[in-house]
Parts: sequence; C-alpha cells; structure tokens
Amino acid sequence: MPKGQFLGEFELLVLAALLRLGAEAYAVTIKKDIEQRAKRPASLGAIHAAAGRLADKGFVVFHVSDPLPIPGGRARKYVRITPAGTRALRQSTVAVARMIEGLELGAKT
Amino acid sequence: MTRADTAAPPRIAEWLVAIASPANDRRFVLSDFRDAFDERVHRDGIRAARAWYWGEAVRSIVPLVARRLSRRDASDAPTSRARWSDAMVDVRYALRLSRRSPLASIAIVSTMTLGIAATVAVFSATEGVLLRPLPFPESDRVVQLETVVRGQQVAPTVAYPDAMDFRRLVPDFSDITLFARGDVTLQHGVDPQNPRALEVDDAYARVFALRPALGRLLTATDSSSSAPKVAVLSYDFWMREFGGDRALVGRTIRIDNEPVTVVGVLAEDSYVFPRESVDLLLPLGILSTSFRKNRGALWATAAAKLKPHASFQQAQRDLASVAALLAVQFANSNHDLSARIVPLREAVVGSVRPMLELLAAAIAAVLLIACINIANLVLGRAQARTREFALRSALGGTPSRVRRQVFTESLVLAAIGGVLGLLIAPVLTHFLVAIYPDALPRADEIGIGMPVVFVAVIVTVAAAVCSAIPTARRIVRPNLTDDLRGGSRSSGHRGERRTGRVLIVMQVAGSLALLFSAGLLGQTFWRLERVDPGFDSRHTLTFHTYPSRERHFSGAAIEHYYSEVTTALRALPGVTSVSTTTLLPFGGCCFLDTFIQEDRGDQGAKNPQAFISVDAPGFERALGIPLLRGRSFTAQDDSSAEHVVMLNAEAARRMYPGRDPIGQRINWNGQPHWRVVGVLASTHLESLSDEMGPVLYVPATQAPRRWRYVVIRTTASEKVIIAGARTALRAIDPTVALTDIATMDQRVARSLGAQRFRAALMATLGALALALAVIGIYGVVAYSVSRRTIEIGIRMALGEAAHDVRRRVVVDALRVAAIGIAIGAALALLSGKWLAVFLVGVNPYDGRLLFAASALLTALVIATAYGPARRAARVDPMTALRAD
Repeated sequence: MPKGQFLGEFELLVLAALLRLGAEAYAVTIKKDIEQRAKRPASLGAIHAAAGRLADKGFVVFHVSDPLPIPGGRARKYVRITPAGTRALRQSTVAVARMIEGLELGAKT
Repeated sequence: MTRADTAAPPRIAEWLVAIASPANDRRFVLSDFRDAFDERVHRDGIRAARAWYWGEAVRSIVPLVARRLSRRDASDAPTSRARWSDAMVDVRYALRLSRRSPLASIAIVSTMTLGIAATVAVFSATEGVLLRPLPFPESDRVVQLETVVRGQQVAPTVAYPDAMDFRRLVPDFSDITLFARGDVTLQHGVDPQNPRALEVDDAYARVFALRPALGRLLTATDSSSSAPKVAVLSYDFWMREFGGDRALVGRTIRIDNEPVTVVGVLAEDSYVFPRESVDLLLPLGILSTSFRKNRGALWATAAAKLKPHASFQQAQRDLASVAALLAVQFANSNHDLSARIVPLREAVVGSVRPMLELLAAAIAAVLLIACINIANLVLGRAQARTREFALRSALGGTPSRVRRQVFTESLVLAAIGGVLGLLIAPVLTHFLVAIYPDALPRADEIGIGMPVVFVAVIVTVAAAVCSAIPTARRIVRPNLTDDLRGGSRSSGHRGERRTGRVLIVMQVAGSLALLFSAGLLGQTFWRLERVDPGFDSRHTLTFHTYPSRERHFSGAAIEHYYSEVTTALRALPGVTSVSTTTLLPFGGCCFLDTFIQEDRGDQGAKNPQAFISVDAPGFERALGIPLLRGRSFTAQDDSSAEHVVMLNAEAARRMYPGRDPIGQRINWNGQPHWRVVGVLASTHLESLSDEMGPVLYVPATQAPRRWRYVVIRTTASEKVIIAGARTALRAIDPTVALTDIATMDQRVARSLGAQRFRAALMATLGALALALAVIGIYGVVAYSVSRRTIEIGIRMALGEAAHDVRRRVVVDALRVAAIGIAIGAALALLSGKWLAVFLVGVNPYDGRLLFAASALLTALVIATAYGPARRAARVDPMTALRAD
C-alpha cells in the first residue's frame, strides 16, 4: 500500500459496512450498521467525512440516486466499495489480525 | 398525513450542519439527516427526534469541518501544485535562456550584484548608525541639554548652576547628569599615558543605565572634595591595561601622580557618552576649580532622562521657560542664553545624518540607472524572442502567463544578483566604515541583521520588477501577424522604440544629476585644498603634553618644565624652531572668553569675545604665522613685566576698526591693563571652511597653562624628531605623556577628510553612472539601428548618402538625449540645493558646471551613437531588402 493509503479505524468500519450493505449503502444505513454491530456511535457527519476521504483514496465511489418518487423526495448519495477498497480492507484486517495473534488482550471486550 | 410529514428538524441545528458541510456534499448530508430524523420521529416522537438531531448535529460538526478544510486543501492542491510547477518550469527556462546568452546574463547579474551590494552596504550603515536605538535600556528617553547663545549659536554644554536649577524646576526630567572630559595622566607601564577619562556625577550611571561588572559605581559622596580619590575603569581598559585582574578593585593606581583607588569596573556592554569609548570614570569635581561654579561658564555636558510619560515637546517648552526665568534673574550671565534638548541619538549621530543621506541618495540613483540598463538588456533579449512570445500567444498562452515568464526571468537573474550582493555587502560596509573620514559614530554596531536582509530582498524584487516592466508591457499587446512572420527586421514597433527612448532619457537625466553633484563636491574639495590656512603647515611636528599637578604645581614650575623641554628639543638635529601653545590650529578647539576693552569700558553682554591662546615666545615662528604689526612675545615678557597680549587680524578688525590696536589696553582674566603689542595674521582654527575667528594671544609666563601643544619646526624627518622628543621628555620628567602626535600637514589633511570622502565618493558614483549610461545608450541605439535595417536600406536605395544616414542616427539619439539633459538639469539643480550644506565657496546652481556636465554627456552620446551609425551607413541596400 503506498504511503498515505492506510485505513483509519473508522474508515475500516465504514468499508466493512459497505461490503455488507452492497447497493443499499448510504450514510444512514452505514450508521445503523456500525452502531448495531460495532456497538459504537457513528455520527452522520463522521460517515460523510470518512466516505469522502475513502473516495479521495480511490476505495469507494459515489453514485447519486434519482430523487425518491414521493413528494419532496430527496436524492441520496450511495456509496460503493471499489476493488482497491476491498483490497485495502483485507490488507488492513489481515495486518491487525497478525499483529494481535497470540496476544493476551485480557478480559473479553 | 403522518406526524413525520409535518415535523421539521430544529432549524438552528440544521443550519449548523449546513454550514459545516463541504459545499458539494451539503445537500446529501442534509438529506441523510432528514431521513434519519424522519425515522426517529416515527419511532420515538418529535421531541426525541429533535433532541437526537441536535446531538447528531453537534457530533457531526467536527468531522464535517475537518473534511471541509482538508477538501479545500485537496481541491486547491492540484492548482497550486500546477502553479508551482509552472513557476519551476519558468525558472528552469529562465536559467536555460540565460545560459544561451551568457554575456547578457553576466552583465545583468553583475550589475544587479553591484547595485544590490552597494545599496545593502549603505543601508546597513544607515540602519546601524541612524535608525537603531542606542544600545542601553530606555535610551529613547535620554536627551542632551544644550545652551542656545543669542538665539542662534548652539553650545553642546551647560553651566553648572543652570543645570542645578533645571534639575529643580523642570518637572519632566527624572534625572539630570553632568559630566566633562577629563585630562589626566596615568602612570602605568613603560610610558605614561593619557587615558580617555570622563568626570561624571552620580546620576550618570542612572541615566545611561550603567552596571558594574566588579565593585561599585560612583556615588554622590565620591564627588565631595574631602572624599578619597576613586575611579571606575571601563571593561576594555581593565582588560587591556590590567589584564582583567580581579584583585585590582580596592587597590590604587597612580593618576596625575596621585594614588587613586579603583572601586569598580563597568560591565562590558556599557554605553558611554559623549565619547565613543572611555577608559576611566572619575568623580566630577565641582569644587576643584572655582570657575565651574560660575553661571555663564558653559563647561559641562549634560544629559537628562525624561519621566516615563513626559513628552519631548513638553519638556522642551518647560526647559525653555525655566531658561527664560534664569535669563531674567541672572541677566549678567544668562541674558543671552536659552536651553534646548535634543534626543541623545541625534546628538550622537546627527552630524553624520546628511552625509549618510547623501550616500543613500547617490546609491539609489546609481541603482536606478543600473536597473534601467538591466531593463534594456531584458528588453533587448525579449525583442529577439518576439516570435517566441507571439507563438506562445497564438498557441493560447494568456498575456498573464507570458508576462509571468518575463518576470520570472528577471527575478531569477535578480535573485542571483541579490544573493551575491548580500554576500559582498559586508565587505563593502567594512570598506565604507574604513574609508569614512574621522570615526563613524556607532560603527561597531553596523552589521547585516534582519532589517538589512529584508531590505535586500525588497530591493532585489523591486529591481527585478522594474527591469521587467518595459518588456512585460511590450509583449502584452503583441502584433501577432507581424511577429509571427518574423517581422523582427521590419521598421520596429512604435511602442518599443518609445520604451527605448524613455530609458535613454532616464539614464541621461540621472547621470547628469550625479555628474553635477560630483562636480560641486569636487570643486568644494579643490577650493578648500587651496585655501591658505593662515600658517605654514609644512615641516611642523606637534604633540600634546600635560605635566602633572603633583610634580609641577605652581605656574613657575610649569614654566620651568616647558622651558626645559623647549631647550632640549631645540638641541635636536634639524630643529629650527620650538615653542608651545594652547590653541593649536586644527588641534581641536577652543576656549572662548570675554574681556573688556579699556577704551570702551565694560559693556556687559556686548563685551568682545575671542579664543584664548596661551603661548611661549616664538610660537608664531614655529607655526609660521606672519606677524603683521608690532612685536611678538619675548623672554622679557615674564610674570613681573607689564602684561601684554597680541591679537589676530580678525580680533583687531572687530575691536579697533580703522584704528591702530598697538598700545591699546584690555581687561582680561580679572586683571586690568593688558597692552596690545602685536597683530598676527588670522588663521583657520578648526577647518579650512570655517570663518577665521578672533584670537587673543597671551604669553604663557603671564597666564600659565598646564596642558599645551609643543610645536617643532624642523628639516629632519618626523620619525627621528618624535623618537628624539620622547627621549628628551623622558629625561626631564618620565611621568609626562606625549599624545596626539601629528604634523600640521596631517592635521590639515585630516580636517579635509570629509570633503575628500564626499568628492571621491560622488566622483566614483558619477563615473559608474556614466559608464552604465553609455552602455545603455549604446544598446538602445544599436538595437534601434538593427531594427531599422530595411528602412535604412530603402532610403539608401533611393539615394540617401551614407553620411546622411550616419547623421540621422546620431541626431536621433541626440534628440532623445536632449530631453534627458533637460530633465537632468532640473534634477541637478534640485540636488545642488540639497547639497548646499556640503558646499564651501561653491555656487550650488553653478551654471558653468551644469553646462560642462551637459556638454560632456552630449559628447558621450555622440561618440556612443556614432558606432551604430557607421554600421547603419554600411548597410548594403540589396542585402537589407532581401533579408525580409
């Protein structure tokens, strides 16, 4: 991975959520996914910011939906993980796994 | 309709989210917030949803703003990076280009280097001397007190009783200190010496924020006449003379053959005034000589410190009103006197201000002319590249892009020149200080600091921009079709010809002003060198002596000492005449005193004044001052004989206009009946440019003075005489020091130092400007001729004679130069007005000089234009026409 392409912890969570959510991934669904699974708060602003950073690195792409077919329907900005993003997620998780392999981390978290 | 349809998120929170979001993401962020909010409304109700919205908004602000800021960087990064790489391309291109025409590049860089080095050198001197505050705490609040005599003459001294009244009555001063230079002899080492001593009161240390490195400073009790004698040494003197011996404090040294206890050593960085450096501080003895307590005896130098909130103007007003009070109360002594204050920095460096300003102005003019030359070179090179610029424009290079290229080229060369200039500048500064006449005050504070570097950068950029402007203007509106066709050999653009002409005009004008100034200063020097000082300065050696009070107490003892010295020196081989005097012309001035003419009676403030010279017989022969009337002093004019005086011609003219002064009597020194026996020719006393003041000569036997100058007229070499004199004086009294040794020729030459410096400086700069102007004019004319080859070819094909072509080129150049001369003449007269303070006996608006300088410039323009003119006349019409 070239320098500057490392994943932050939150970015890692976002990428994982993207993989799971597939075509349904946008900020609100990502937020729910992270909060339910990772048991940590994720603000919408933080998700937007992280998605933007990931896009700069080429790990995600956006696509803007047509406005929903209801009155006042709003457009959504869907996020999709790219092959590079998948690769980065794998490398990061593998690296973390290798680093903590065999470590006593104490009580169950 | 559901609740969610009508429920709206909190507006302020929504607004916060909106302004925190990156602009292009804003509507999606708000939409997502709204989605989640609606969901919450359904699930938890409006209140909970609104509370949630607030919380979510607050948590989102930081990441959103961070993203927004990083996006601004990111979105700008490509363009700023592109701009940077553009600039680097320009720089590389400029460097490549300068290698392609190395001569022009070297010319530009070396001109820049010299111009910037000279500017930086002069600025660093100006900054160090004139602009920086004096190096001690609160120096900006310290002022010097001066006495104004008859509303015009200013004496840098005050009377002791007046100073005491100022201390009491002027509310704006927190301290007033009085001090005076002391003449003492230190018996230490092989030969006795005259250290630079300063007698100071106890306030001196407070005003100048002195600190002791060892021991203590002087206190009020040290000044009382009954106190034991003490001294404080300067750090340098302590190191130099006593090797930094810490045990010295508390021990005694011998000053004037008396034991004096060293009580302290000043800190190394102490600032002392009025001397640049001082060796000893001694207590100021007010009681030691009674005249020091007289009102009207202006002997003390005084400095005051303003209170923290006192204004300079208010202090000035208060001081003047107290002085006015004293003038009424003590009408006898103070009736003509007032007082004023000057900032101490002004007192220290005020005298060099005009000189440094002159220097700065002259250097600026030369730098300007240099810039014009560079502009010329850059322009010439750009014109050779007309096609390139046209091509760039045709291919879509915007004017600003092309212009940037031009400025970059100029900036690259200027930057090289600037760096080299900054490297050379300290050498030039050092040189400037070294050749500066006398000692430049605060010279040790001159250095290349941040302000100087800052100015160097400004000058460099300004020079680069100035020299690129003509080119940049020229290429903004290129004539694409002509230029692309390679029309570089057509008749030339009107615009560029005009630019070239403007450059010639400016150079001629600047050069004329500098030449004229150089001429004025040169004339001043030339005239002064030929001024008759009133004495014969050749073959005369002089030095100063000060026999101590302890060994030679009485007037008779002093007289005996000097007669022994005179006799011993007369015995030296080659010595034709020896005498002593207290008023040595060009030996540092003067003691002015008032006396009463007995034929007129006491006229109070209108009594005549003259400089007092106390002399041994034969001093006028030793100095070569002609005796005009009557007789000179003889050995018979001793203390028991009738008191006699001589006058110089100026005093005789003022005191006895149209009458014979011989036989007249005056009342001087509290004694009546001094009879005038002779009149000597007037002499210049301090400089060849001052007016010859009145002098009263008194025989030493009748008014003994301890310190004197010994004057030796000799045919032998000065070195032999100095060695002989040292031996002779040591044999008579080994405690007496010989100081201030110089021939009269040297003293006179030294007094002309400033004029010589100014004249040489201006002549150098004038010559430099002239050389630059010639180069510049040649460039413009040659270039214009080469651009007009076709026109000339056609004219010659149509039958114009070669000499007509030559004449037309030269006349063209002259016509332009004439405008420059007209403007230059105006500038020259302005600079003459400004130079007037430096001129002696020279008309600042000297028409003949202006004419001569103009003629010289005209001749140079003709000579310069003639070369290209000849080349033009040799144009073969067929070749010229075929060339296009």
